[in-house]
Amino acid sequence: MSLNLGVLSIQGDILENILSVQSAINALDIDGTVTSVRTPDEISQVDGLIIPGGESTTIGQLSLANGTLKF
Amino acid sequence: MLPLYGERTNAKGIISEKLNSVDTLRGSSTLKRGFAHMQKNGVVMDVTNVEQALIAQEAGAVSVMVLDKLPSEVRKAGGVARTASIRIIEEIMDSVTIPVMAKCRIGHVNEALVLQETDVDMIDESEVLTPADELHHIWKWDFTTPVVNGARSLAEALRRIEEGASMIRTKGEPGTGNVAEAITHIKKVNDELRTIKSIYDSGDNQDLVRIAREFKVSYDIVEQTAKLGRLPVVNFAAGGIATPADAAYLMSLGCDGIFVGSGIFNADDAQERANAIVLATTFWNESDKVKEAQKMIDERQSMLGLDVKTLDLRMQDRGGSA
Repeated sequence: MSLNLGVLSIQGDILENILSVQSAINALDIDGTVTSVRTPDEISQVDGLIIPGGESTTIGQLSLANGTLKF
Repeated sequence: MLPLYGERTNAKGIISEKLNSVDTLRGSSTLKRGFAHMQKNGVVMDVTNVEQALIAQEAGAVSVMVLDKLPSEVRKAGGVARTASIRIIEEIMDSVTIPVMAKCRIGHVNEALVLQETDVDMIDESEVLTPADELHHIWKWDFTTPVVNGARSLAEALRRIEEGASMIRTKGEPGTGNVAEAITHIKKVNDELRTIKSIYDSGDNQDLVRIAREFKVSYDIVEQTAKLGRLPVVNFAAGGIATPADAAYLMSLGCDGIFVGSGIFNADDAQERANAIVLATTFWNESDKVKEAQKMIDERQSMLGLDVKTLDLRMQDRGGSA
């Protein structure tokens, strides 16, 4: 079974997170992928979600405004 | 990845101390450049009071930049522009949860020290204010607080990084509402990066030495930047951004984020415009979202732009030769 990870791509260090996870997958030699995700549809497709470092106030507000997250 | 080229491990700005009996290190390059990384894909908005700062936070700005006057007002007022009142900076720091940055004059070490003592999150050594020293920028390695500098070319950017800048913003012409200069300069930087990358790939080290001499920077930083193919610190676009489409275009040119100065709070629809510019910056690669953002603003309420050719005062030239 392959492991699919998503990096929430709203704001912050998105590229660095994707590259780090990718190199970890390669180093551990496991079957997995990492993609950038934004919409609820995309998020429901992944096994795990990484919220990158950034401004929490901003990521929170933009995620709510665009329907990425629902409360 | 977070490259630390040109890092100075013995810089005066690095402080190790005990905080609640835990050893902490402040002011390291990782920490200072890392702060800039946390701002990526965001919009930093110029504000002059608490009310504007709250509008910026509500709109989703990643930081606010406190000034005494907006760049366009500085342009109109003339005289000497200095750093903002500390009382106002503190009021804003108390009322928002996002980071607060403040501008100091180019080369004015003690204005920067005052801002560091105020505990702002980042200092902008800015050409919008009247330069205090045309020949020397602040030696930023001595600061615990990260500093952002403007640049019009790769040479300027690398000189600032060698002085300890933790972040670069490619300059436009501030306070004009005219994005043309910002576009010219980011394209110039990209072009120069492509040039040195291709020299590096060709293995012609002698030509990199020539570039280092031309740029007036060390060979080491040229080689490392050429290898990386981008600036070794976070690079935002600044100067003249007035609409969501402006912001989206600059993001598409490879900027890590946007500084908006007069464009928002000089427009009559500040709140909608702040929202719209954040939206367009986040979703710059989805044209339907940028269109939605552009639809939120009214061109009749945009600030009146200025043609850069007609200006008496070109702020972008300040400190550029140093």
